[in-house]
Amino acid sequence: MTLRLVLVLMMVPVFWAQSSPRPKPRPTFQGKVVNAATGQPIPEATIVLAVPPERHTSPPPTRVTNTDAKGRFALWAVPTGAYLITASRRGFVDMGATGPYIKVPSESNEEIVFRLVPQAIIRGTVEDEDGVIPTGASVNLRRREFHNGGSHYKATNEARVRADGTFVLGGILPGHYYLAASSAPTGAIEPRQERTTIDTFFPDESDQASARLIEIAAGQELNGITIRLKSERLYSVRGHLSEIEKGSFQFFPRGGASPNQLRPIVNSNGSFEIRLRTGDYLIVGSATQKSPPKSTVSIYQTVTVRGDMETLAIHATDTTRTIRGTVRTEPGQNPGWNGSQPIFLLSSMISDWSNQGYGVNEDGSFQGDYMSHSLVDGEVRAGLYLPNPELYVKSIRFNGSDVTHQPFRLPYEGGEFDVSLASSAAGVSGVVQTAKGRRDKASCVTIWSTNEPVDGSSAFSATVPLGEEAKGSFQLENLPPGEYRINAWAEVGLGLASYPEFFKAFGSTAIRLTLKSGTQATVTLTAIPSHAWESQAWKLR
Amino acid sequence: MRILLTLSITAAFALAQPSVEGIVLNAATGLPVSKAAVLISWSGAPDFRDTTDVDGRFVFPAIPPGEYVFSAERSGYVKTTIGLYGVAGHGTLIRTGDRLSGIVIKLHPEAILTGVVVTPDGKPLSCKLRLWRVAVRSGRRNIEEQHPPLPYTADADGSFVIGGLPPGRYYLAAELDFDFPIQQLKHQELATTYYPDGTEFGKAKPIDIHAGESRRDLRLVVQKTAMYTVSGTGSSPIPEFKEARPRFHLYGKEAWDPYPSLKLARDLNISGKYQIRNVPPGDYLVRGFVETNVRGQRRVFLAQKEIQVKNRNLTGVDLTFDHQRGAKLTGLARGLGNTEPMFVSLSHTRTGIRTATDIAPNGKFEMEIPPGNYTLFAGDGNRTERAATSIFFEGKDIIDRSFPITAKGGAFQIEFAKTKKVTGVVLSNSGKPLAGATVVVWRNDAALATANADSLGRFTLHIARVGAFRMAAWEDVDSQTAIFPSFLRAFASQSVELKIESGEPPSQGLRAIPRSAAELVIGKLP
Repeated sequence: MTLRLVLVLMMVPVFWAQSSPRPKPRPTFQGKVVNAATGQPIPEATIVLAVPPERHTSPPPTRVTNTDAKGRFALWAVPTGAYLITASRRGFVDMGATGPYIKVPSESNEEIVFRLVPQAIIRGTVEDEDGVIPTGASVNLRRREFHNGGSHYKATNEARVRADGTFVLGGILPGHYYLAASSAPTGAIEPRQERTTIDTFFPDESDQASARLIEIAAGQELNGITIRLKSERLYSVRGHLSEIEKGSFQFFPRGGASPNQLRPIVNSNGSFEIRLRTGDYLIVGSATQKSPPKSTVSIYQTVTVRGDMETLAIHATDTTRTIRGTVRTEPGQNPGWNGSQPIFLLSSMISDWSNQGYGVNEDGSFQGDYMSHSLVDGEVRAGLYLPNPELYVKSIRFNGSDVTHQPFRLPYEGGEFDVSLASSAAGVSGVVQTAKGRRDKASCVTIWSTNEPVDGSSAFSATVPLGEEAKGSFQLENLPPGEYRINAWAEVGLGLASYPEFFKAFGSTAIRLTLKSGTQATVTLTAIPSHAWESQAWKLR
Repeated sequence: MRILLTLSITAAFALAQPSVEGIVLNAATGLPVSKAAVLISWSGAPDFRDTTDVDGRFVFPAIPPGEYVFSAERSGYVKTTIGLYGVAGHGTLIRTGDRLSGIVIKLHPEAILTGVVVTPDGKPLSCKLRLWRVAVRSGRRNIEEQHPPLPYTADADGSFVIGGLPPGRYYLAAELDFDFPIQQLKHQELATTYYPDGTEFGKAKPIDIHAGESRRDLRLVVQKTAMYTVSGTGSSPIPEFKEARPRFHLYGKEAWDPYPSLKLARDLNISGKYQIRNVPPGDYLVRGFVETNVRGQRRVFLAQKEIQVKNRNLTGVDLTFDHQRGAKLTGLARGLGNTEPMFVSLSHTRTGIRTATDIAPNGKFEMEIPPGNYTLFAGDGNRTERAATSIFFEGKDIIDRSFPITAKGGAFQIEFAKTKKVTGVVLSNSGKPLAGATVVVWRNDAALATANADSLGRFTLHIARVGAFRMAAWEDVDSQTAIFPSFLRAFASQSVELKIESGEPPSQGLRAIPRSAAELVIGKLP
């Protein structure tokens, strides 16, 4: 009896311990990884939490975890701070460091969903015109990319041609691509070379315009592609230095077609020879004046090669490459900037990094040089940064023609702009939220005019990205009065959001706005989630 | 065997720009190779290039005078380079007015390795590949990593094709590296794996390739394993150490000799702390290396420790860079001249670890080193201006010999003398100049000097010593293989005598030993 009682007493604390388990700590955040094509969960995906690169003060104190059989992950006890979180899995396209930025403590307990795209693969062979495997050759895929309202084709995936002539291109996202093969750049002078291999597009074209656009679906495997590298005749271009000496210069093919270094050896008597394909070239370099004061001068000239050339004179540049212009407010008023002068902007439509700004003087004049090759190789847009929110751009003319809101080509020689501003601009501000009603921080907002025909490229549009600091709010100023539509897309790039074919596809779901002179409108936008706009993007790409 | 030479150089146009002509041949068949890219490069940029025609011919009609290195390359062949700069080779000196013709460049058919890298469940794996080749360097068997211009990879579908390989014995690995400690994951991860399926060097299986042969359908199965972190500190009582940045490497123990580096430590810092992440279980050697340079005294210190990684992280694997416990060595060198700074370098016979120090202008030097068997090199690095004619350690002649250093240390006496130029030309069996041939001068099975013939078969050697030596030339034999003592011994009867006295010896004419004869001997090397 006594013994039994003791036993019972001993069991009681054990029972209590079981009935009140220690509360399980809540994870700092959790989420899942799914296959973007099928929606199926992806197990064993790697989740990496890293300090954002710009705060690279110490080696990244990375936290990693992996998804379980249901594609789920969670991270506990993450210290306070801002992080970049990425998910990856073999066989899926590596998204690089594009994952979302997250903050700890989190503003919400919303789970993080990664949608990984299964990689597509292209296999094939490359040979030259004689069936020989070209040493060091490579293949690349070119996809349409968007910048400043324009688009151009840019190499996205690259693979080398292997010793047996085969190639395997992997990590491909769905979309429309051109496939090209290129031989290895040699960087050497080939004095008796008659022909040169050129970039060749699938199936058998020397220029992209006649090449076949290949449509690739998520996870697709495309086999048996053969590309035979074409060759083209080379012509001898001979010339001499004119009134200059010790010249050193290079030929750049316009449009950036050839990666080879095209630098001739200049003999001591100033003569040179180089072998070039037909086409337009930009010649850039420097030299010394022959006569005193023997100062250093620039070489900057163009040449069109159509056959052998005997007497190409290389001279000191007399091309100014200067633009100048005037900004006026209508009708002919003195602008009176009050210390907040506008900046005239030229933006390349083929490169994000080739924007150039020109400060406008008190009297409305501006002037400057431009150096970037991208500004003259592709189309550009002209625009103005206007610190005064009451002003908007009424018209921009370049050498007499209207270039308002439309792309144009900038000649090497430069030219003259004539800008008209109007007062009583309208503005829009507001917030962007997700489908679940949270404020969205990683979206772009585009507003576009519906006054003019929808297919006209001269319709006004403006795009603003929402950064981490914006906390979901945006503001658009300097808008001409008129009829508009406005829309927002989550996780979209600035280039895509400002591309007319993209944003106009969402015209029916966009909010309509009528902006009257000098008024401010306020709107709340619901961002279109990425899975809803990606199909539209893939169509364009 | 000494013959008179007439090179096919005619100074027809004294002021004309030099020109070069030649032919590329298949080394196996002797047939011309068309569409080969021939590149000639010189000290001034850019290089010149030509593509061989249907008869294998190449022409450079007008090039600036200079010293040129020739190379030929075509898919299906191993790239050939003649006259690489360095200790063993010289470029071809081409002067104004030279019109060179009849240059022969041979290309050996390549071997190709093809296969696939897969995970244990048979799924293809795209990753970086590493390839090593067994070679002979400085008379020692060595395993050398191959470093192509672009790293070897298994592509998106796990398949790989590695071409341009000369025959030999190779080791292949799929390299899996992560920039975070893999222990944070709940599952085991894929680890660097050696063909066919070992995560340790010791389990790597060699891939033997015979001339022109290829290996297909290689299957490398990458293994999953637990991985651990090895960390520690390198420290030293030497004051200079505080300023130096030590480097730490992890090597496979008892694998290959000398061991190829497996991993470099991360998180290096001046306080000497190191950490090596993601190390699979196995036996390793952690080796630390530090170089100090104080008032012209360059010293290299090494420290190493054998470790075994089992089932946990290893911390406190501390290394001490302490030369005080080593044998104390002093030295006096005479005949330094006014040339480049001279140095001495002791090479540990078994591990190949080198310890070097500069010789002071007054000829004195000091070193401290762990006891063991060593060989000593003394010179200026280029071995051209001055060279050692005698080296004594504790009264014993040790030149070209391995010798023991005991704990009680000792003193060196070194004599340097100005070198003499030994020049000549190598001819093939048919009596034509042989480009790229390897020339060796030796005595007592120890190589004294080597040179590679330039594109016209010409060579120059710099020798300081006097006396009678053996001398021979080989077609298509790596100069590092040719100095292997048993290789030299096997060809003693086919060598010529070279006598060097006070003056420069007359120009030498050598008939090259064909590749086929050399291959028989290389096959039997230990």
